[in-house]
Amino acid sequence: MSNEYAIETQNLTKQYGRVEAVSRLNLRVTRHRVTGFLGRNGAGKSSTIKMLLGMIRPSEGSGTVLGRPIDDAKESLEIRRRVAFVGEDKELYGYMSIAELICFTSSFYRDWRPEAARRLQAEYELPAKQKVRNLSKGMRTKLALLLALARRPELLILDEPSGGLDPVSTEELLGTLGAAAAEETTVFFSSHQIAEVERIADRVCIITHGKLAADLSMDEIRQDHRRITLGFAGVPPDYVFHMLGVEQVRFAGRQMVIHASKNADAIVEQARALNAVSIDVAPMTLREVFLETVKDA
Amino acid sequence: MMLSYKAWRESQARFLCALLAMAAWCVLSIVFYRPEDGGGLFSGRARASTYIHYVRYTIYGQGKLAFLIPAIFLGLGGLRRERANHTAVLTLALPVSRNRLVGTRFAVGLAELAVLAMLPGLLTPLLSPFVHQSYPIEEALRFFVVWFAYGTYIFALSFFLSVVMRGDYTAPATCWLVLMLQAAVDSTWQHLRPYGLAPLSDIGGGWDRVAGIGGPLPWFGMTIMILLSAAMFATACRITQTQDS
Repeated sequence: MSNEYAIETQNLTKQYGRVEAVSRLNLRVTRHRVTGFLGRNGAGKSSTIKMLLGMIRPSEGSGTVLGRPIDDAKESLEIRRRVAFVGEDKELYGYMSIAELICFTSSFYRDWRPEAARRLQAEYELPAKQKVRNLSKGMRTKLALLLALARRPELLILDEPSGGLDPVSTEELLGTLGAAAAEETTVFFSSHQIAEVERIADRVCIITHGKLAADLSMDEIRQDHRRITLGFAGVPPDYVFHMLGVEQVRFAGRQMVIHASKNADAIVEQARALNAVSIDVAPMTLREVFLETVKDA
Repeated sequence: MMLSYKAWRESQARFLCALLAMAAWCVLSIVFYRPEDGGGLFSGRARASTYIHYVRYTIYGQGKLAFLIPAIFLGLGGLRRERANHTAVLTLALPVSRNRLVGTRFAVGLAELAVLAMLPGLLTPLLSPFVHQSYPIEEALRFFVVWFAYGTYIFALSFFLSVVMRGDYTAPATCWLVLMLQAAVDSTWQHLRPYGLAPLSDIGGGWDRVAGIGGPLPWFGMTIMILLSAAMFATACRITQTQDS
């Protein structure tokens, strides 16, 4: 496995009884980049993250995080020492106060930065003596983020980090993640907020039914992905495109819509031969690419 | 160190309630002792011939429930309970091994159990002079050893069951059933009684009724209980290693 990747998995599989939550997943997350991890509910994002951190055991396959195998208990300890993680639930020990939880968490990490913790506590307006059980969901999310961001980890893994945050706090979070990436921290985060991913991610991995459906750089999406809409006078011809870059062809009334991941000009040339009355080529957003990828998968 | 703090905070309420109940039982038993008829607040119609018999009957006999039930409840917790509270992910993300998580919780529980087992032995000799009586420290120590050994078994049983069983009430209910079963076996096959293999009766001085007051401690039974506790702890560690968050 390569040192170029902070996370690398090979045929990683997790079965819960007969249900395959993650299925032969081959994932690569490049170091020092921000990678978004997208998928529908139940696609296998959280199970993948839990396997990476040794919280659940893979049924099959292997993987490394920061070059260390995830299925070795001792190496997994070192992984957790070097990775900061914010879970999906954001449930924290309700019986502790904010100050106690910060003190508790800081004792486990050598890379803890007390000044960063103090700054974030002030920024997030978290009262030290308040019991965690009395915090709102948004405040709990902020506290969970503080516990991860007050460190200087090599890898930051976040599972739905902005869940429960108001727009201002979300902005602050995106800024903080961008700053972490600038300090050479690799950021890997799952989210349903595609606009957020689009803003800060360098790459996106899309997972569906536990399998990797797409691994794209945001530059690729912006430069190469196109939606080509062909309008016809009557019913569109039942033509099959056998061309490089044609990801998907859909029919909607008198229109044929092609999702092209590359080679858009050549595809348009071929489409002209079909006697289309109109041809519209438009860049695709991440949302569109995501929907096209997961819709019929 | 901070893991011990976490384990302490999670069991704090159960432990302090048990401590208060046990202290109240001891204090009230001693303060309301009536030397003229050998009875007291909690002795009902039973009458003891001496103060020592009274303490044995009331504090260590009837009062055993104030120790048994907390021993069961102190054993509860662990990854399954954390999963129900949605904090398992937070705990498992810490850079500590699962053995250390389990071991710390077990050690803190045992320390709390030791304090509970010691409490009657501390309070009884200290408070007895207030009712113009005395209770020998050696006897209090003997009961401490017995309570702690059998209490460790009950705690370990509950600890083990809470690792393997789902549901808040399943583990304590099963633990109680196992103890009742042991007591039933003990009363059915009376030739087993001298071995001290029934925590429910032995913790209340059952072994003494066999060996006679001041007889030898049930070392065989206590050793078996400690060995069983160690086996249950080791199994709990192994099972926790394989549990998913």
